[in-house]
Amino acid sequence: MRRFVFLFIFSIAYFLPCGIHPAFSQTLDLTVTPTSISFSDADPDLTPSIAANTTVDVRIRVRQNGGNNWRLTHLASGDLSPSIPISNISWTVTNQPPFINGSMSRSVDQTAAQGIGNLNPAITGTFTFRIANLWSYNTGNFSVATTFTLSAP
Amino acid sequence: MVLTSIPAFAAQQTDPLTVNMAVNARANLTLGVATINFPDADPDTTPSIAATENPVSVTAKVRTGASSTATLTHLAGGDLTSGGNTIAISNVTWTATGTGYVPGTMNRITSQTAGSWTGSGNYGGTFSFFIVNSWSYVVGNYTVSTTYTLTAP
Repeated sequence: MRRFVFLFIFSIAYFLPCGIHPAFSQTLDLTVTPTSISFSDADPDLTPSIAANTTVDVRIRVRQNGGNNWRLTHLASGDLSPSIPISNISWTVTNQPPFINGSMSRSVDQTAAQGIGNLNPAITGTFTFRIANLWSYNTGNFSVATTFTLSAP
Repeated sequence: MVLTSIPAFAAQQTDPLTVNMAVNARANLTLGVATINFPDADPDTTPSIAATENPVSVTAKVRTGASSTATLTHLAGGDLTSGGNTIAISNVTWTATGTGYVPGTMNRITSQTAGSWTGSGNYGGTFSFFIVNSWSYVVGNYTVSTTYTLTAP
């Protein structure tokens, strides 16, 4: 019996500093609607900033996250074209916080929302995207894939 | 023994958003003045008369293909006329400053190139106009309409 008690106490003393985590897994929900937006052609002198054809609803929910951080990020896979940098697209969003205004990037994840703990029930941010309209843009039809990522911790 | 702390339950959700943009060809030309005037002068002391408005600012804004060439041309509606008298329009020349702008001589039959650019952009410059002064000119007030045309293919 003594031996058992000793082993039990030793085991606790050994494993606690090893960073044993509580036995739960985060449940994250992310929905982006719609999955495509378009910017129409316009005269840069008359319309220096073009709004996308539709707003985008991003719905997020975070559960079983304990006291950990969570973060929603956005990353573009590239520029719209060599003459149209993706950084010319910016967004404003409702429900601040946790949602945050920002600009697109092709190299660094841009934070679109962040918080601590759970976010339950789900919350929806309505994103309005705009692009700076410049004479320097060369003609054509351009497209780029981008990704929202919800992660924790 | 190595003590480690690994975030064992990291979670992540992603959702795509495609961004599209259409950019069409367009052109916008702005001249600093709509009329230029050559004052009277002694042909011996002033063999070339500068327009009172010199230099005239010009801005050509174009959207075109990355390897396409936009052109600015000038065409006079005829010779300078005063009643039944004329002064040949070919006596009027211009100099130019600014990237892509070129000097030239006015013509009433063939459009004369005044500038050209490859790719889209906002191009600023100036024109300065001069007329050959001659004892052969009959007295009078002469006028003619001329036209600049900016084309973006």
